[in-house]
Amino acid sequence: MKIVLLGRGGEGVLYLSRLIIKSFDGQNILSSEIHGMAKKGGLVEVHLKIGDYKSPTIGYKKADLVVLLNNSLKKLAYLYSQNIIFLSEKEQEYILKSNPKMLNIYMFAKLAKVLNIDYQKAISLINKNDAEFFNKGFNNDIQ
Amino acid sequence: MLAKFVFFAKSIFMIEILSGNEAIAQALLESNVRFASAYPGTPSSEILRYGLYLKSKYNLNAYIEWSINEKVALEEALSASFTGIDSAFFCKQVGLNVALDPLMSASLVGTQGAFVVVAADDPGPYSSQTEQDSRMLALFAKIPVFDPSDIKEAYDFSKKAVELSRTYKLPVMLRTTTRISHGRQNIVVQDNIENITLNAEFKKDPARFAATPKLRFILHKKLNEKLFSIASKNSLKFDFFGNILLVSSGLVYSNLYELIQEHKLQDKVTLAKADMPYPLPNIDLSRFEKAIAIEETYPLIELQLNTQGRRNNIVPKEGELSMDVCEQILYNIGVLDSFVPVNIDFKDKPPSLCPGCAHRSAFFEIKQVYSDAIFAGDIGCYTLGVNLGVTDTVFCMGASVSFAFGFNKAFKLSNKNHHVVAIIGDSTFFHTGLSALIDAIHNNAKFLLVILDNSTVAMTGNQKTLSSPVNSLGEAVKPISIEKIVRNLDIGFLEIVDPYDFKKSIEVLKQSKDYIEKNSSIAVIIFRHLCVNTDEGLKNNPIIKVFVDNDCKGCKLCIDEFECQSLIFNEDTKQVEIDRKTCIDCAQCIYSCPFGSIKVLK
Repeated sequence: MKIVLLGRGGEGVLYLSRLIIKSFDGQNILSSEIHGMAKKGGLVEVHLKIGDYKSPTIGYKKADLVVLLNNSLKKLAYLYSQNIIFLSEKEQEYILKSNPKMLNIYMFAKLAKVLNIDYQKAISLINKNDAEFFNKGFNNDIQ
Repeated sequence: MLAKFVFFAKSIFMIEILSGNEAIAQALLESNVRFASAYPGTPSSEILRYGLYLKSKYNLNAYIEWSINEKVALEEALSASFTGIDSAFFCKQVGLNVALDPLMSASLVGTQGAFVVVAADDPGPYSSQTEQDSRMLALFAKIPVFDPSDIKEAYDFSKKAVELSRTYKLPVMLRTTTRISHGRQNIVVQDNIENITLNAEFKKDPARFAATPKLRFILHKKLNEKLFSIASKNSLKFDFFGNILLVSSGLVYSNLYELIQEHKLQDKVTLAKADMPYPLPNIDLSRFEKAIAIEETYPLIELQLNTQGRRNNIVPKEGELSMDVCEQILYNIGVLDSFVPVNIDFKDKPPSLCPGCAHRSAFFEIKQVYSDAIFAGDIGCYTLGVNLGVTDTVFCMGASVSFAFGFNKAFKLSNKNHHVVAIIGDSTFFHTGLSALIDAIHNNAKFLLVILDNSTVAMTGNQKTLSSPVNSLGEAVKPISIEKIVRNLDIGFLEIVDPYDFKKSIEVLKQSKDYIEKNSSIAVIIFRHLCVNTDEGLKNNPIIKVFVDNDCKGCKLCIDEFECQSLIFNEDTKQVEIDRKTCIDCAQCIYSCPFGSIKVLK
């Protein structure tokens, strides 16, 4: 499976990629990160390949799934795949208002559902205090 | 949780998911490297950081620390290797330029313990000023170079590099690229690193370590013999069975391998891989219809094996050889039947200083007073001063000061008076700015030197600077004071000011201008404010909430002149708004509205 994660510096893309990697513990993992001049607001791009691959990078149109933490990057996302998971404006607004740091946790929960990651396993990977937002994401609570 | 134990005959190993940089540090320390120096630079910085982590974790008797610059770092580690201690030096590709002088001699003189040079290249480039290929500097310095094609190989080749260096008493390079350094993979590593007995000895041998030119000729001859021996044991690994040969190394090999499998080209091409792309022996490739070298970023294999590639424009001469570019190459050489290039219609906004960054405040203040000056910039976060129109040149570490000197003298020769401002960060000042300043002072140059001191190497991940009273592991070291150095150089004008203090900053800048004109000499201002991207800096930063009043004319002067990401223009209301998602409530933008529409929330 080839997944591209896109977001901006400060949104927790790298942490999210670590969570996904841990979820697939035991399988072959290859990933590559671009976060050169990305402090706050710069582009962060992670390629993640789970399975029997050689290169850690993913070409355009070749991703199975794109995970988008920042909707300003939608155009870039579509270069990789038509299959994109992103947050609705309502979800964005709610999270950014209540706790902007939970963007990645919420997305991780949504992903856990899409990728059939076991609930118990997924929630065991995150900080206990983040469980509230994880559950919101898993149960699709913000509509 | 990640670690799974694997039992082998004697040692216990575990599976860990490591980045390329972490894997390199892990392998070097497992191979008994106990001295490592570096200067931070993307994408190499995490190697030393992980080395520090391992040193702490296993309580290792080792010296692992950041150095003042790459030349010094390489010399520190190299001389340690002269005493038999296995040593390593890490840098980004342009850092190797700084360290090239000692490296050129190191190959001739050789080493005692192992000495591994890790150079991280940045094809693209993503965060560098050049796309240079460090493998070419290995060829130039006449040292062997390994080029790992994935993270596991970065780990394996680091160990091989130590062994080869020990065997031939020769520096050995490990070249990585951004995709390898910042890649991750599950690999098997040792579950423990044990302390070893270190016994430094320096066996005096002036014919080697202090060789005169005549003796250097003999050393050069010996070096060539070593290289011949290494090359004769070196070879290519061949995969697949087509008539067209593709020769590669590093990440590009992995890209090609995967594409050949994906498009089922196994009977059309043969893929050859060089683990060590220099020195290569003579290899007969005449059994193939044609041979094409596909490598990042310069034609190292192509020149050695006399293949096709860049010289006949099959391989692009610039840029990363990404999956897409490799696919295009396969199409161009006729083994892939179709290829539809992706129309890349995505253009991202340029990078910008963090909201609340004191560099931005300093830049805004500098241009209020020195509006007509030439701004000689430098390498660091503050390169982004270009967004505020306060950076006219960006070259290499320390060049701001020498450029200011050159500009000033050139205008003087032409009987013209032009304000010149050099802008440099604290770590870059230590790196190479200081020597340029000494030369400028000695030769009566006249300009303003601004040192932006945020007490950290911010751009590369907030490593410590020499002004820190503790080293990277929190042990006491002697802090080096920038102002003490500058004062001792007999600078008549030295002011230290917090750029968050707008009024005082403007005042000091005006005074500096008067001083430079009256005394025809150099003035120095240290703008000091902690980096808000560090925990300590953010914790200590003043919190003053601001809002944009309804009388905002929508002139966008604040956005254009202050260039903070947290100031956004609402196309509906035609007024500026504060982006609460990113704003850290520094209130520095209030000075950017000439109409006073950005107000403090009371």
